[in-house]
Amino acid sequence: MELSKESKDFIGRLQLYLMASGKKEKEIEEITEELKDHLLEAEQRGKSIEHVVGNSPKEYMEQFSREMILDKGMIFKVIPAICIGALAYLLMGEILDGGIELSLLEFIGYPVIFLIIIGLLSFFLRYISSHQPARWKEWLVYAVAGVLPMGSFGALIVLNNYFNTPTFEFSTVANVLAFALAAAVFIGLALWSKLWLPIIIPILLFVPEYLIGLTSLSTSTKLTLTSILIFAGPLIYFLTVYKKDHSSSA
Amino acid sequence: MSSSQLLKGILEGCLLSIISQGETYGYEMIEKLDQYGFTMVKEGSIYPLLLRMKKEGWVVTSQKQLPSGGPKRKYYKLTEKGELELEEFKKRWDTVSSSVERLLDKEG
Repeated sequence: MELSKESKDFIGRLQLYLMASGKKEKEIEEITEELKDHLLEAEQRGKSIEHVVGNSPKEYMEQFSREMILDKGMIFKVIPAICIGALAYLLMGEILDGGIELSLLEFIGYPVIFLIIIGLLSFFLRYISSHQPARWKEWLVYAVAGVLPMGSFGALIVLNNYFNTPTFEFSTVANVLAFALAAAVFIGLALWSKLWLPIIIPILLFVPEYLIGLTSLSTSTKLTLTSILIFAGPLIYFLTVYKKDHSSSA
Repeated sequence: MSSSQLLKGILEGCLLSIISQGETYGYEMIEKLDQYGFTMVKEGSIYPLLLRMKKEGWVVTSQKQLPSGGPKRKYYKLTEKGELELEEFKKRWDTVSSSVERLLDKEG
């Protein structure tokens, strides 16, 4: 016995709604499984989905959302993870582009910004969990936590263009070490998120560019090829995954 | 308190009572409610309530795979805290229903 299309559709939308509201994945799964079970029983007895969830799916979803806690830990883990990933990505780009060149300002700035962000995030997290602030204050904190990393890295780039500080060039050994570190970060992120994406995306973006760089094609051909591959690679990857997902669930 | 909140509180008490009769799952609870004439209750509306009752520690759940296949079924069992809450609900309900009855009797 299969669920009707309407029911499947509703379950899918409920999942998406709860995920977008930052609810815990495990809890979402538990609820949708339970609802699936109920809808199956109801449909076997000839009841419609409206009979089960009422005329306003949105209202019903909100009812669920109100009873579920926000997965705050996840927000505060994801932001630093994205920062680390972005840094590793930047480093790897520089290495493949002929080696890392860091100005004194960048060399000091990145780690300092990083420590400040991590410190502030942990402060925010403790503040929210212990004070239970008003909703708008809580969202303000999330907004600051989201904008802060982007803003400070952006500011550093602007400052770096403005002030001329001495520049270091990494030696070959240092470049190799940095490369290994960045690769380790990608692998670590993949293991942590249980997704292949953190490994596949850098491979798709960097490997074609690097290989094309080794050929003796003209600069303009190289540029064209690179830009095509940078779009085509991820596109093909997502299409393959999408197809696989669809055939396995059908 | 809005009327929906009132109904929510009553429904929670009724669910506690149904679960107190033995381990059960969502669809079975709805069937029992139906038997007692709770036809105004939207079937799906019990799940957000059950979620809350679990958070309050009144019930515990366990997942069981059915021999017929399909999704795992979630079973609910009352905790000691849930039993206390059920007793509290019965007392509250007695007060409310006897007051309403007395009042309506006098009117009629």
